[in-house]
Amino acid sequence: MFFLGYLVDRGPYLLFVLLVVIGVFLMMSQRNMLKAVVGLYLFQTAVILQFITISFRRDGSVPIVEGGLELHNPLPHAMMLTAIVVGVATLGVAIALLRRIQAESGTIEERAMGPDEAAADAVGTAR
Amino acid sequence: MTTSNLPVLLFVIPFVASLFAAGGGWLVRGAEKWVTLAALALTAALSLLALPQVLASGSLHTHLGGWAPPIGIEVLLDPLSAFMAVVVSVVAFIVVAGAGPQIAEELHGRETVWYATVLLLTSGLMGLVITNDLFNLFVQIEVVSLSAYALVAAGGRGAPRAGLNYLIIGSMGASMYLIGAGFLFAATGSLNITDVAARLGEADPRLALSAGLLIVAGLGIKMALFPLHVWMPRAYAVSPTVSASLMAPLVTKVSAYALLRVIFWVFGAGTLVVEELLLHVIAWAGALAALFGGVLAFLQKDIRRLLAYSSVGQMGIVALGIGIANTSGLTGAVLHIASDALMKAVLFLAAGIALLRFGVRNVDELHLLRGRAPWTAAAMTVALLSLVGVPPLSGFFGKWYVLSAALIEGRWALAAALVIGSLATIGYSFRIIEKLYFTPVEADAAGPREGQVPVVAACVVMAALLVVVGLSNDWIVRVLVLPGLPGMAAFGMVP
Repeated sequence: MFFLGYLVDRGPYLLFVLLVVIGVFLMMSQRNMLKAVVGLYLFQTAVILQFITISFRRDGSVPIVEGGLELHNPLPHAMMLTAIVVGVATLGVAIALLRRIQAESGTIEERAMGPDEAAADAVGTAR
Repeated sequence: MTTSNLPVLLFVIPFVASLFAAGGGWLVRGAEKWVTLAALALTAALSLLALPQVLASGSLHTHLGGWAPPIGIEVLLDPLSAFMAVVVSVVAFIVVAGAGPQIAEELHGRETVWYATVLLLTSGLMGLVITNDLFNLFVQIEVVSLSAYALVAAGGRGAPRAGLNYLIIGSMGASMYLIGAGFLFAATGSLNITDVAARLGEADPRLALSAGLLIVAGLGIKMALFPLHVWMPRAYAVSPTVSASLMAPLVTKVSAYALLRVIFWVFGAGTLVVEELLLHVIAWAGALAALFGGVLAFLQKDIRRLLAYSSVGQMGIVALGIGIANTSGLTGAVLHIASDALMKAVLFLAAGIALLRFGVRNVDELHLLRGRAPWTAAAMTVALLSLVGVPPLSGFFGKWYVLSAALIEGRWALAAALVIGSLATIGYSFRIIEKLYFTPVEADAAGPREGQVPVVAACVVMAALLVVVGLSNDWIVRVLVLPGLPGMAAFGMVP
């Protein structure tokens, strides 16, 4: 019972944390660059969820002022519209880059591409 | 408090001009260059105009759309942001004006898009400098970052991969900043920096602390604060040299400014516990950056990777100044942001000359420039000496203020890291200077000569500026920097 109450109270926040963790894990672990981009997008979506959760009020109503009612905060929604646009723009640039990588090396699997010249380790290059 | 439309123009002009540059370049071949130069010159002129006005009669505020803060978005030009606006717009103008021949050579046929993206980058940087709103700050960070990803990826083989790597790390940083800003919004119900600062004292310290750590990590990625710097050497080594010449001086520096702004203008007036922990994190990251940035730079072969690691070290000095947080440290941080912008602009432009004119990519081949490119070599040497911290040059003063800040506070470990990092700086600078002047070369008349006139001129002008800024250092600190620093006494962190 306690657990259920906790879930109802904190559910959206737990979901936010879960999405962030999955997103970061995908970004860090995947050798396929498209999957890393998907991880990034999950991360950004999690942030949107977080903001929308902040705006929620218990027993709130739609933010049209009619006097006396508790309202959901409309400001995070406005901000998240911008954040969604930013996220889509980032995704667009990422996919454009993926296409160029694909054209350049024939694959987007980091392992199949071999050592990245630019990423060669600092000490390694000096010798 | 004065309300004025002047601050908004500083970022609207490059933004609108980028549309005109894209359209104009499509209609008339070569038009984009002149649109860009005109817009950047206008921006630089306006920021130079605004600076004395702000210093004389106080900050300029603009309320976008006529909505007064805390509801509306506020744009603020106070002495610090006015100073930063001058640094950003002037350096951007000189670099873009000078790099013309290199741009034509490297991005043949793609100049229109490059120029339009550069204007977007400048617009974002100016917006980042003058905004007084936490969410607007995020949007401007993303404008800067998206343009920066494109500028990096415009390079040759390997550039898209470095660009994607930068994109993933960079967007993660921006998202972390946004989560932090969301926590602050949840804690205070406001996004206006002044307003958040006023209300933060009553907020839950745990929420404020999480917000602070997330914001420091997010902006730390953007300013390449050790150990979050991994994207930078990759990106600058394969991007077009002109992109690196523009980005290296500006993007990380303005992010450092944003960190300074958030730490002292938002958290500065809040709870002291939060503030102290954040400052410790920043100071130690800065000390490690100053140390390892210098050492890693010393180990590099590729000139541009060396310069990128050198930037890591210099940003470490800035972070150290911010983290120590006494007047001397902050003065040093602000001054070093300006100096490093000039030094990195000279060095990356010179590295571009070496690559495009002489085909030189590595430090070991720099002796090819000996005797053939005297002006480039001279400008490079001045910038390197400034990086080392030779007295009359401006790089010395930033370091000096930060070092004395550490000594005033008796924080010997931080001071030691700074000194050891500086010794490494001497090491890699003299590796280059030795190649440029002291390596024996067979005298042959053939082979390429000095770089194109505008590029070399830009290098020489900025090297001269390093000397001028260094010599007039006392005036700059007294008149331009000190009025912009946060009222330290109010936060109980004097001297």
